[in-house]
Amino acid sequence: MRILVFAGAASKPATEEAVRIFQEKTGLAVDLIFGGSGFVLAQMKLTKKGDLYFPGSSDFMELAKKEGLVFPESEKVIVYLIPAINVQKGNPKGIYSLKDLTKDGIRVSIGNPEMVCVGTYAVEIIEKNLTPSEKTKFKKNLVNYTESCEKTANVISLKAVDAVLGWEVFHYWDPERIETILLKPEEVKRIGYIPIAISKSTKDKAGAQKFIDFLLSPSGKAIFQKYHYLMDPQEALRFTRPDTPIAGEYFLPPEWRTKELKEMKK
Amino acid sequence: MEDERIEGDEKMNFRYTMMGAAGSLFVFYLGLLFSLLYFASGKGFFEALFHPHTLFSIQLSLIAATSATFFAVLIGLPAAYALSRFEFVGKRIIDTFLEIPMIMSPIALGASLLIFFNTPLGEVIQRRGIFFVFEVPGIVLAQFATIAGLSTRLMKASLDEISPRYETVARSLGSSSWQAFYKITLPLAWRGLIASIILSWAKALGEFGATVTLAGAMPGKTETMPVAIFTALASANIDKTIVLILILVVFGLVTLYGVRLTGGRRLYD
Amino acid sequence: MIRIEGLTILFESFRITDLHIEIEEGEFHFLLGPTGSGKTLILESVMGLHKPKNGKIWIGEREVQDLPPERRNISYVPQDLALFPHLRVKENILYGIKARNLDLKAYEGYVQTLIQVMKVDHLLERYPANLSGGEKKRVALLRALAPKPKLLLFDEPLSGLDPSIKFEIQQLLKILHSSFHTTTLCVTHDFEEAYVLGDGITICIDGRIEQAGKRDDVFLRPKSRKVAQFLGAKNLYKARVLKKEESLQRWVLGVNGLQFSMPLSLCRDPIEVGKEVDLFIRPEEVMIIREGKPLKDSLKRNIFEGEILDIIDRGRYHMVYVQTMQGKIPFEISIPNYAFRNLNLSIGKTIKVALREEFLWVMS
Repeated sequence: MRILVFAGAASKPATEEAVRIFQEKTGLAVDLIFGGSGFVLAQMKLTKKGDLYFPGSSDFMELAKKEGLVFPESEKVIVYLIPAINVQKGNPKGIYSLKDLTKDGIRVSIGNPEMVCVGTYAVEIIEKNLTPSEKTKFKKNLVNYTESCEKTANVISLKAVDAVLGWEVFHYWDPERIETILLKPEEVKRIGYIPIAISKSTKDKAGAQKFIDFLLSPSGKAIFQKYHYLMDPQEALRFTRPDTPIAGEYFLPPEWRTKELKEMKK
Repeated sequence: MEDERIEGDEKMNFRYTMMGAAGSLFVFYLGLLFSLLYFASGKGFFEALFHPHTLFSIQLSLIAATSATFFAVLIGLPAAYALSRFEFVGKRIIDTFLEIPMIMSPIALGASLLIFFNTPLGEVIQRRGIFFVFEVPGIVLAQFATIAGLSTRLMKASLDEISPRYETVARSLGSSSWQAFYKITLPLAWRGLIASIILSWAKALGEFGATVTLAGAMPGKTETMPVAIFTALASANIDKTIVLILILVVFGLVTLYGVRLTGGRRLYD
Repeated sequence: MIRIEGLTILFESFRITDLHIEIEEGEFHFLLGPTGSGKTLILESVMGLHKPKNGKIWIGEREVQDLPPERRNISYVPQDLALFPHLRVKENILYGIKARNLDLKAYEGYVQTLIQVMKVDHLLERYPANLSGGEKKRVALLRALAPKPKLLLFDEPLSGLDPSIKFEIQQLLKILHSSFHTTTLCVTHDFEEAYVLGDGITICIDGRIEQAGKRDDVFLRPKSRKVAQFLGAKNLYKARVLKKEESLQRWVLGVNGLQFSMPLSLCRDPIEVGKEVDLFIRPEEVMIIREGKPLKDSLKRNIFEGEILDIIDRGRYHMVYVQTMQGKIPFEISIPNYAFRNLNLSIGKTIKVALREEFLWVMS
């Protein structure tokens, strides 16, 4: 019996190692399909296959739950994510704070808030931390919405923009090219996380559960820790205020839906 | 009598087999389109169809593809002429280089362009000239890069079909090289050239990898139809995906067919 | 007057050095040579398609070697005619006049005359694809002549035509030339064509000019064996000068033991006893003797007995192949039909041949 996992590419290195060790330990074979979280969800939906859904962030899990593709009660949190500013290595444009993103001539990108959750988080941070005039300046500097979590990190690696609002862990994905500038604790409005759940099209619920259990076990956690993910709420709260919520829903103001955004830029 | 009948059967067999192959290709693609229609559900379908984003994407796709093709022909036609008619050092190298975009995956091409704009020269171009990265000109550039090699090759093949002797005679009769090209070679190669241009335009219209890498996927700004399709799928929005695919196919086919009808009228018999 | 001086062309494996050709105003000049002798290259250099390494070309008063083709005031008819397929016959014909921005009105009369002479007025609205081979040739000629070029260039004008059409076009070219006297340079490998139409001939073999001159000079008095062979000379023999008969003012030459005699005055090249030379006589100038008929003096000195090996009917004349008894020397004899009928020849028969001594030709 083989287990099929549809996984968001964001956690690829850690996940691959986890699978390797899991296979050695239990002898259970695991197949991984990587891609954008939404992309692989579409594949899972259309093929009606898969045992586990392991997206890069919580909002796609919400979508999967809403569409009845996973068992909601099987959802578990694997790691926590902190939003932060990511810049090119060496920080050539001298960006040290959120307000610096409103400086003239800075090129910024965020994930598309309608489909990349790190984008929705970014919008919330902007909305709740900047004054209206600062917001306008920020929008002027916003040149692109990236279409996936990894792409958000990529555009820094490829030096296509000067800064993104991404996850703090991006730095570890490409230490040669990405630097993380932490936000002030009160600026972080929400803590993100990477969830996993059992797919309703599973043929081996017990096997799937075994994998989840492994990820939550000390040896599983150690793997993700090695890749600099935050393993429990306490670690995450160190970057934020004590009362910062974990995930939950944020209602995206319509103006951030892209057509209006473009018109405002004009 | 019996021999005739058997020969007739063999001939028909051959004919049917060949036509059957053509037919099955048609059925294959038609089948894909029908499966899309089968999966589409009513409400989401029309929502996506009339969404202002969709109209924007269609417009952007058509404009970008046409611009990219225009530039590809502007530089490609003279290049094709040189490759077709002249002998010069390095001709074979240039000819081989034209295959680069075909070998490179579109994403590789887009990434290369992105990396180019990181070089000192690229930075100067963007600062003093036009901004390409994550901007609309980037779409045209990405599509141009993808189709330029192909369109030059196709146009060269069309020009190869026309004997250089016609130009020689025209020149002996008093036409300059330019006039001979314009009055003689171009009209004679017209049909083939139009076909090359159409093919290049279609390829530009469907281009995705290089576009999304260099110009980004900003809805309302740089989201062409293929990019919008990807975005829809990446959001697990199957309905929207299907609608956009169908719209792209319909628009593409209508335009291609329209051009064939009008472009094909330059006959000289 | 067309003058080519010191033309040197180096192209791929061709080496043509220091070429000199002179063509007079109104002359129909042939550049004759076997395929691959470089004559097309010479034509292209005159046209301006190919830049020669060295040399000067004059067309009329103008030095043109540095000018592009469109400024040399020439017309070119290639072997495959290259009629513009997308233009009607009318437009093809007028192309040169329009391209040179000439006054159409001024040329109208002339062009009309040409059209009448060529008999193509019913073809004007047609496209080249709908013309027969002969009609295409005529339109191509018209197109070349219409803008009154200073020099007309032909590449193998009669190649690929049915014999009947070939004759027709040949006549047409003759008429056109005598009517309009356009200076013409024609490149061909067909020496019969050159014989019928040419005023002057330049023979080019392997990139070298072997001989140039008036038509008759070249054909009847070839300078070397190479030229003679190319011109289709049959009856070409290697001979040795045996002796000089001072009293009779004659040379005696031997071929394989057979002795030929010719007057000193007729031998242009300097020769001496013991030298090896080439001897040749045209098939038309060898007679088969009819018993009983009196012989002219010029025929009396070279009479040989031989056996008829083969007779071939060529329509308007017969070719008779004879081998001499002594020396076993082959002769090809061309006999017009009216004479043939009176001779009663058959294969195997023994006959006597006589050579017209003024047509014996010696090359050293």
